[in-house]
Amino acid sequence: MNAWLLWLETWFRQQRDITGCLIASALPLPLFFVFILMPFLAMANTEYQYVYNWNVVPFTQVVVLMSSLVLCGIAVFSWSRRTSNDDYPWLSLFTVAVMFMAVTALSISYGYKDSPLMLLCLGMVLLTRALFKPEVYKPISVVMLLLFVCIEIGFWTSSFPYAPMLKSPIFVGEALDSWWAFWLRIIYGMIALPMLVFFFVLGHFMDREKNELERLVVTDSLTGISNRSHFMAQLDMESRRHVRKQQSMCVLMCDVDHFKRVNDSWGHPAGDEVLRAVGRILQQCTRSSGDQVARFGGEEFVVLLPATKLKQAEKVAEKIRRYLSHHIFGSGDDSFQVTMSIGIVQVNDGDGERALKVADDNLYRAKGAGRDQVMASLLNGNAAFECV
Amino acid sequence: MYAKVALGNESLFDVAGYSLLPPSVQNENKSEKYNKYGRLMLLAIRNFLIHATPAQRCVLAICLNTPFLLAFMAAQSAGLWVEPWREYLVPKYIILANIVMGSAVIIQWILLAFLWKQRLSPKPHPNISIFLATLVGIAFACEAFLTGNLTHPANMVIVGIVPIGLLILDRRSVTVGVSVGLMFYWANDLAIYTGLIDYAPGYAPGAFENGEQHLMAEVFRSGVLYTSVAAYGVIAWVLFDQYDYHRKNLITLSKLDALTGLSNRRYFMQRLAEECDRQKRTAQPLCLVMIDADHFKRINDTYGHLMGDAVLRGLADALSRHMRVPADLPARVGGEEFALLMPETDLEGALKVCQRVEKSLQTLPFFCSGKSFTVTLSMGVVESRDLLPENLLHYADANLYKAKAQGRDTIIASVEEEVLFRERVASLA
Repeated sequence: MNAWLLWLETWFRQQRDITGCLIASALPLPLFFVFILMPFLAMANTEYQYVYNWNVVPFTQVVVLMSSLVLCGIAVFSWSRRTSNDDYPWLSLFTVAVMFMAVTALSISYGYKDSPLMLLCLGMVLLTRALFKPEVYKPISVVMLLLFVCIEIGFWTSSFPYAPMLKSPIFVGEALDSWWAFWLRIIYGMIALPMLVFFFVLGHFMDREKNELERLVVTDSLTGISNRSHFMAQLDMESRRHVRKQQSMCVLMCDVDHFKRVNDSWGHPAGDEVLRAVGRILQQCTRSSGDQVARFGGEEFVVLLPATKLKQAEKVAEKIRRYLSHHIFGSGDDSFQVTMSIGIVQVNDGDGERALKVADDNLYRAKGAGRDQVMASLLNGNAAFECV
Repeated sequence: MYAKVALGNESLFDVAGYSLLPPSVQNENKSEKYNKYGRLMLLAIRNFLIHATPAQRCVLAICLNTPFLLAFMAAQSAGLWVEPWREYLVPKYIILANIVMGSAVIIQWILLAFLWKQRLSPKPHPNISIFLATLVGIAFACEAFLTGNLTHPANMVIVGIVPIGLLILDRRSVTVGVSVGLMFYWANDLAIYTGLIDYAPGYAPGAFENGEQHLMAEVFRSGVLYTSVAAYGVIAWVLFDQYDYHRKNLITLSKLDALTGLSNRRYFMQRLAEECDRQKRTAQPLCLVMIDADHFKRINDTYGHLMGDAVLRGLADALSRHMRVPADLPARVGGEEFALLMPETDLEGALKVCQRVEKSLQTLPFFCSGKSFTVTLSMGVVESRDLLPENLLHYADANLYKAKAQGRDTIIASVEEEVLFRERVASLA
C-alpha cells in the first residue's frame, strides 16, 4: 500500500504531461462504459423502456462512445510513451476536451441537478487541476463555467428542456422509480467513492510534503542530525529556559582532527563516511530526549546538554572521544582511524552565545595540547574559570 | 522552526537586510508580492492553515459549517411559515431535520465557547476534532436524506466537506468522521431501499406539477447546487495552492544552502554532472572555479561565529552579483568553500569573472566591533575538455591548492583534457 502511494506520488509530483494524459484518459473510462451500457440494459427490459426518450438516446450514446474510444486511443498512446519527459500541450488539451465533451453531454441529457453528474463535472475539474499545468486547466475551467451559465440561462428562460434524454426528470417528488434507484446508487457510488479516495490521497501527499519540508529545514543532509540554524534556535531557547530555572547547561564543541588529511588521502567519500559516523556516535552517546546534537560547520559538531553539570558532560565527551578513536574506517589496507578534540563549557547564567565562544576556545586549547583530548571550563557570570 | 520557512521565505532568507536568494528567485518573489488582494488573502489563508493551533482549527471548522446549516434551517422554516409553500413540504420531517441540525449547531457553539478560551494553546484536541468531524458529517447527511440523498445537490455537500476537513482538521479525525458518516449513509440508504423510510421525506408530491418542480423548490435546489459548486471552487483553489506551495518550497529548499542562499552541494553536483554530460554533445567550453576564503578560521576566531556567518553571506552575495544567473551556477560546497560552474564560457571569460569578484571584494569591507577588514579569496579555475565531473573537480581542487600554496589571494587557471588525464593515469600504472 505504502509502496503504491509512493509510486503514485512520484508520478504526481513530476507533473509530466504524458502521465496526466494517461490518468485523465484511463480513469473515467469504466464510468463511461457503464453509462453506455445503462440504456441498453433498460432497452432489454420492457418494464424500464418508458424512462428514456429514445429519440435523444442515440445522440448521447454516440457522443459518449466516440469520446470513450478516443480516450482509449489516448490511453494506449500515453502508455506506450509513459517514460517520456516531453511536453505534450496539444495532447493534454485534447484529452481534457474530449473527457469534458462526454461529461457535458451526459450532464445535459440526464439533467445535472437531480443526478450525481454535477459532482462528476466537479470531480473532473479537480482531476484536471491536479494533473495538468495551468495552461490546460485554466481555459477548460472557464469554458465549463461559461457552458453551464448558458445552459442555466436556457433552462430558466424555458428555451432549453431539462433532461431531454428522459421522458420525465429522475426525481419527481415521489419515491424513486426502481430503475432510477438502481441507476443512481451505482453511478453515485462510482463518482463519490473515487472522489473521496482522491481527496484522501491528496491530503496524504500534502502531509508528506509538509513533513519532509520540516525535516529538511532542521536537519543536515549529510549526517542526518540537526543543522546549524536549528541548533542556534534550540540554544537560544534553552538558554532562556536556564536563566529562568537557574540551572546549568553544558555545550560541547567537537572537531575531527586533521580532517582535511582524511579527505586528501582517502578521498571525499571516505570523508563523508567519517562525518556520518561522527553524527551517529554523537547521537548514541547522548540522551535522545533533550540533548541537542548538530553539525556546526564542515567537520565541526556541537552538542548541547541541558540541565547538566560539568562532570557529567566530561563523561559524555570522554565517551564520544573514546568511541570515535576506536572506530575503524574502511577495510584491509585502506583502513584508517580518526580522533577528535572536544571543548566543553558549563554555563550558569544562560548566555548561549558566549558559551559557544568559550567552548570554541577550549576546543582550540585541546587542539593546541596535541589533539585527541577533552578540555573543559566553567563560564560563570563574567569570568571564565578553568577546571581541568 | 518550521514557522521560519512558512512565512513566505522572508524570515529564512532575508537576514539583517541581506537578500539571500539568488536574483532569479528574488524577482519571482517580487512579482508575487505586488499582486493584488487575492495574493494577500491567499497568503493569509496559507499562514493560517500552517500555523493555526488545533483549537483555532476547530473554531474555524465550526465557523465555516454552522452558517450553512443555519441557512438550510432558515430556508426550511420559511417553507413551513409561508402559507402557499407549506403544501409542498411534509412538516413533521422538516421539523425533525431542523431539530437535528439545530442541535448540531448548538453543540458546536458550546464547543466554540470552550475552544475560544484556549485558542492560543498548542495543545492538541484529538477527541474534539473527531467528534466535530462526525457531527458535521451527520448533520449534512441528514439534510441530504431529507431532500433525497441521491437526487438533491445536498449530496455534493457530503463529498465536499471532506476536503475542507482535510485542510482544516487532521487526517485522522476526518477518516473517522467519514467512516461514521458512510455507515450512517449506507444504513439510511438500506432503510430507504427496503422501504422502511420514505425517499426524500421532506417533499410532498405537491411540489411537482407534471414532473416539474415548483419555482421555490427549484430556487432552493439551484441555490444549494451553485453554492456548493462555488464552495468547491474555493476549496479546490486553496487545497491545490497549499500543495503547490509546499512542493515549491521543498524543491527550492532542497537545492539551496540555508546560510547563504546559494545552491547547495547536492544540487551543484547534480548540475555539474549534467553540464559535463551536455558538453560531450555540444562541445561548448565549460569552466569550473573552486573558491576558498583565505584564513577564514581566523575570522571565526577573532570576531566570532556570527561574524563568520555574515562574511560567508557577504561572499555569497558578491559571487552571485557577478554571475550571469541562471546560466551560471554559484554554490557553497563546503564550510568556506564555494564553486562556480560556468557553461559556455571559456577560460578567458571565467578569469574575467574571477577578477571582477576579486576586485569587488577588495572594496567590500566587513565591520565588526569598530574594526574593519576585507576578505581575500584563492581560486582554482579549470576549463574542461570533455573531463568527467570527478576529474574536473579534482583539477579545480588541485589548482585551488596551488593558489593556497603560492601565498593565497591568487587565481590559478588551466585547461585540462580528459585524454591527457587518461594518458597520465596509464603512464602512472
